[in-house]
Parts: sequence; structure tokens; C-alpha cells
Amino acid sequence: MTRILLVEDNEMNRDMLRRRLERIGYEVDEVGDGAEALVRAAAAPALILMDMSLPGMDGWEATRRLKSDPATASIPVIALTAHVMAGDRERAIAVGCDEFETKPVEFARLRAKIDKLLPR
Amino acid sequence: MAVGGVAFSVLGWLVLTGHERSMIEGEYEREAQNVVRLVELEFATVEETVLALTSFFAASKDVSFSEFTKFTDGLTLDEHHDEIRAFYYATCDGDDVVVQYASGADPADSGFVLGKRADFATILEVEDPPSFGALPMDNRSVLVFGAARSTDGDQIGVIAVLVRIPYIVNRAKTRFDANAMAMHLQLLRGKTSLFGEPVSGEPAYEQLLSLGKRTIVVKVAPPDPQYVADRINYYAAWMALCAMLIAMAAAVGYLWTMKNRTARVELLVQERTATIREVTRLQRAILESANYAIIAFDPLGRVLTFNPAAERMLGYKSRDVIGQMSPVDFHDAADLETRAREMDAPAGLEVICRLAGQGDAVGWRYRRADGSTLPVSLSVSALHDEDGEIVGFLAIAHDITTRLHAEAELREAKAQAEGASRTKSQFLANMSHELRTPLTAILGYSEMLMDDAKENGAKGLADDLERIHRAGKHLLRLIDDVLDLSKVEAGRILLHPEQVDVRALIDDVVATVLPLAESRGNVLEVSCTATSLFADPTRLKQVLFNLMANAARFTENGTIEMEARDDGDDVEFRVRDTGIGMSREDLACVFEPFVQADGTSTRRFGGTGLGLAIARQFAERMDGSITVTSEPGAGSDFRMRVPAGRS
Repeated sequence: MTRILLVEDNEMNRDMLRRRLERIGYEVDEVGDGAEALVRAAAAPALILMDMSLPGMDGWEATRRLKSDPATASIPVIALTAHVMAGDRERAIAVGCDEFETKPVEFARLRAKIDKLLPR
Repeated sequence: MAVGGVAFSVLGWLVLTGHERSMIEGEYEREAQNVVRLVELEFATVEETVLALTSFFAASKDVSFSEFTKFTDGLTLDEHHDEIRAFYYATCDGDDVVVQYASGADPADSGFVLGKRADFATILEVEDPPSFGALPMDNRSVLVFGAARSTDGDQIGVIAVLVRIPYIVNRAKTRFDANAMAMHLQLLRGKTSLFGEPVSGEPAYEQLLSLGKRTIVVKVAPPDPQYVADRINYYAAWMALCAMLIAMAAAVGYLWTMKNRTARVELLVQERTATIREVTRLQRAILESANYAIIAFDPLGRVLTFNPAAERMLGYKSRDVIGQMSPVDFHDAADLETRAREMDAPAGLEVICRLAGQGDAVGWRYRRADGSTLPVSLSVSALHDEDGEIVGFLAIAHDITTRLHAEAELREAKAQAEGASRTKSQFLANMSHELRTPLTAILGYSEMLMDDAKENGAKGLADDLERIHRAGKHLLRLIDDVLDLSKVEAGRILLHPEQVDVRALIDDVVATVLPLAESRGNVLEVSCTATSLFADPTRLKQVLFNLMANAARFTENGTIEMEARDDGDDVEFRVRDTGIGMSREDLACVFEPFVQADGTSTRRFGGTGLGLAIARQFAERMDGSITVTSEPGAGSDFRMRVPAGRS
């Protein structure tokens, strides 16, 4: 089963997203901060959903490190951000994210983006 | 011997009579020249007085009544200058220049319209005015008046000088021997005789004089033959007494004439000096009471004038400055160097001279005697002589410390306000983030449960979950709109203009709004003749969507029209509906945030109440405008104009 690494600090949102992803057939590995995400990325998930505002190491930094490590650079990352400030999308692309989704997540759209990155 | 003596006497008589005649005629002509010269000096005095007052006005920003009277009172209107009649102080009332105050020999004379504002750009002279206020005019008077605007243009100083030609000519004649010589003068302006009977035949002396803009011809009739004869007889008597002494007598007579002439010239000089002193007194009054520094200097940079305001401003005494210092000494050296580089001129006097005619220059600093500096606004004018050669410069400087201080305070206040605005925007951005996080959970769980409920066939539950979800969506839109509005108000939204295909844009908006419009039984009509414009497509779409969604929201079973057309340099977008419309009161505040036709309408009609406020902000950011006309029950008609920009 395809495994997605979900990085999200808000417990409720993490639970909700995990359950919805599982319903559509993914295995979900969930963590609450950036440092933990780097550790779990070593297990080579098929895709990472990365919240950008995280305690400790934030999503921006975690993504930058993932993308600069040859071992994890090829894993697609979808940035999740509640910021809708101009420039967030560009910033996400700049740190190496493959896609960008604003919160609250519109699930159908997120699913379409996942499908595009993970052709089955 | 006797025969010889007689012959000598007769010969001597003939020779000397001829000699005397030419001598007498020469003397007559010189006297004529003196008289005419004196008349000319009188004219010059009038002109200088006029100029002094006008230049005072021209150099002042504004002139108060009291300043005006101080200057005019400085001029003595004594019996020697009874041709000067009045000084007028006039202000502009619309296009008219109205005399507010008059001082001078005549009774106060005010309230009459002097002329049109446009006529007073420079000194001017009215040709044969029928009357000038209460000044009596006759055909032996010439009215010279000078007028100048204050630099702010609202006050006009006028000096009117009624030159009574007979007064002047008679005074000049009395001063010399003209009357004893039975000298006859005629003064003409064109064909109008201003003085004297016509001169017949070739005049003994003729000269053109100018008064104001007029040319006046002075003709002096040839000497009266009787006078010449009397004079010759007078000399002849001497000759008869002692022919041998004739030469000596002639010499004595000549010397006597010379002495008289010297005395008369001295008198003339005295009078001229008095005149100059009088004009100087007026100029001194101007210099002394001005509250700005007036510094005149010659082309070599030697200071000629340093008024009391300059003393106060710079801390030097005029006696230490005049002839000793250069205007360069009053400038901040670094300033001069910077300006010199900008002007590509040698630092020093040249920089100051080049300011001539440039109007008020700000950003200059003067250096006081104590080394401290002060900011000034500096205006320099070149002084020309009669031939147009530059003979010096006049610098007028205002201390603008207070003004700069006020400007700095204003900037500070503005920076604070902008800082506060930035803080507010940041707060809103943060708040928006905080609000979105729990909303994510609300929307996500309700969506998930909705799916569950539908799968399990729990219809009632699904409907309730749908309500939760819809309320959550509404809250999300509100948060988005508030954030948008605050960002655009704070100027933090950058527009990304590009060439936009209007037709495609409209189709896009219509497709988005169609479900909402049709859900209320409305018909959409679209007309698009505009082709392209240069604007930010995202924001343009957002505004048009807001207008269309509004129309759909407030219209039921009606028609919504969307039109886009080129109109001059603009593209006009028009959204019309046949909905409930708005009252005059509602129209007044329709573009204000959170105001809808009535307080309950956000609940009845949906929307956030921010759409039009955002639409207007964006329209204005795009250098466009948005307007609306509406009547209750008759629908609304919104028009947005946006510059088509480069194509």
C-alpha cells in the first residue's frame, strides 16, 4: 500500500487528514514536527504532506533539508500552509516543494494533487 | 587816426555784433537744454518712485496694510512734488482688481475697480483714462502708474502719479533764466499739446523725453528777436564806452555766465541728490521692514546691501559685511560644493548667481556668524542696467526652520501611522492563520461525516452536517475577505498586470457565477465588445465576480446583464440587475465594509458584506473607478472603469 508521511502539529487536523487519506486507500505515517519528519522520511514514504508552521524545526526548513539530502530529495512534498500571504507559493517552490495547498484543505483538490504526483 | 578809429569801431561793431549774436544764441540754447534736462529729471523721479514701490510689491510674498502705509508715508508729498497724487493698495476680487486703500495728497479714494487682474503682470499705463478714481484728469496731465503683484499674486500695489506737465515745466523754467530770456517751450505727446503754444519754424532745441511708456517731444522756440537785440544793445553800450575793453568785457561776461552756470548746476545736483535721497528713503524703508533677508551684491560678489533681517538671520552687522564679504561667506560650504557638482559649475559665487530667475529654491543652508546653520528658501534675481547688462544680484532668503520642523513632524506622524497600519495588517494576518487552523478541523470533519452519513443513508444527519459545513465555509470567506481588505487598504497587495483577453475573462467569471444566478431563477445576458486590457487578471476577476455574485444574490427570477466595452482609453464593465435595488441612503454607504442594504441582508442574501468594499479598493488600485446607480425595486447598475493600459 502506498505510504504517505503526514507532518502536522495540530492533533485534530492530523487525525482528520489521516482518516480521510486512509479512506481513499493510503497508508499514513503521522508526525508532529519537522525534526521527527526528517527521521521518518528515511523510511522512504511515497509522498510527504508537510504543514509549514511547525513547532521547533518548521516545514520550510525540514523541506529544505529533505530536498538537499540525496536520499530523500526525490520524495514529492506537498506544502500545507494556512498563510495566504502573497509569496507563500513562491517560497514553498523555492525550498523545493512539489505542490502547494492552502488550509483549510479542500480535500478533493488535495486528492487530485496527490494523484498527479503519485500515478497509480 | 579818427577815420581809422571810426573804421575800426564800425568794423569792430560789425564783427562783435555777429560774435555777440552767436554767443547769445548759444547761451539761449544751453539754457534751453538745462530746462529740458530738468524736466527730464523730474520725469525720471516719477518713474523711480513708481518702480521703487512696484519692486517692493514684486519682491514680497504678501504685503499688509500697515507695511504698505509705512512705505508710502516714507515718501514726502511736499509742494515740490505736487504731481504725485496718490498711492493705491489693491487686492484681487475674482478677475477684478479693486482698490482697498489709498493714501496721498488726495482725499481717500477707494472701492473702485482698477482693472482686470491679467493686466497687472507688469508696470503699465492706461492711455487717457477718463478718470482714475477721484483723480481729476485734464489734457495737460499724464497719468503714470506702476503696479505689481505680490509674489502670491493676491495683492497689488499701485502707485498713481498724476504728472501735471505745466507744474513741472514752469518749475524748471523758474529755476533757470528761461523767463528772463522769454524762452518759449512746447511739450507734445503725439499731436496733443501738453504745454505751451505751438512752436513755429525750426526750433532752437528739440528733444524726445520718455515718461512711463509715453514719448513726449519738447520743442524750444528760437530766441525772441527783441531779446537778442536787447542783449546786443546791452553789449554795444559797453563797446561804445570802450572798444578796447570789449574783449575784456566779453571775457568777464563769459566768466560771469560760467559762474552763474556753475551755481545753477550745483543747484541741480542738490535737487537731484534730494530726489535720490527720497527714493533711497523709500527703498530703505522696504529693506528695513522686510522680515526676510535681502542681500544685494555686485557680479564680483561684493555685498552692496545687507538688510536688518539679514543681520538678525546671520548675526553679522551690515557695516562689517558691505564691501567686505561675499554672499559665498553666508553659505554652508558643503552645500555649495554639492550644488556646484550638480550644476557642473565652479563652487562659489557662480552657483549662487546661477539661481537667478529660478524662483524659490529650497534645500539651502545659510551659515551664521557663530558657525551654526539654518535652512532657507532662497530666491536670486539678476539686476540689470539700462543696457541690459548684469550689474549685480539680489538674494532674498526666508528662514524655513519652522516649516521644515513642521514637515518633519508630519513625516514622523505619517511613519507612525504607517507603522500602526503595518502592525494591524500583521495582526490580521496572524489572526487569520489562527482562525483557519480550527476551521480546517471543522470543515474537514464535517465533510468526512457528511460522506459517512450519505453512505449510511442518514439523510437528516447529512443535512445538519451540511449546515455546519456551510457555516464553516462562510466563516472562511469572511476571514479571507477581511484579510484581503486589510491588505489592500494597507497597500500590501501587489498587482501583477498583464495583457488580459477580456472575452475569456468574462466567460470565466460568468461560468463561476452561473450556478448561483440560476439557482435563483435568473437569466444571464453577456455582451462583450472590448477585446483586451492591461491589468491584474486575478484581481479583475475577483471584482467582477463580486459584482456578479451581488447581482445574483439580490435578484430573483430576473435578468443579470454583464457588459464589457471600450470607452476611450478605458474599458467599462457594467453589471445590471433587475433585483431589489437600493435606496439613496443605502447607495451612500454601499462601498463601505460590512454595510448591506439592511442589517439583516447578509443573513438573507449571503455574502460577507465586504465584496463591494474590496471591489472599490481594487478598482482604485488599478487606477480605475467604480460607481453605482440604483433605485429601490428597479435593480442596480454598477459600472467599473479600468484604464485599458498599453495594448
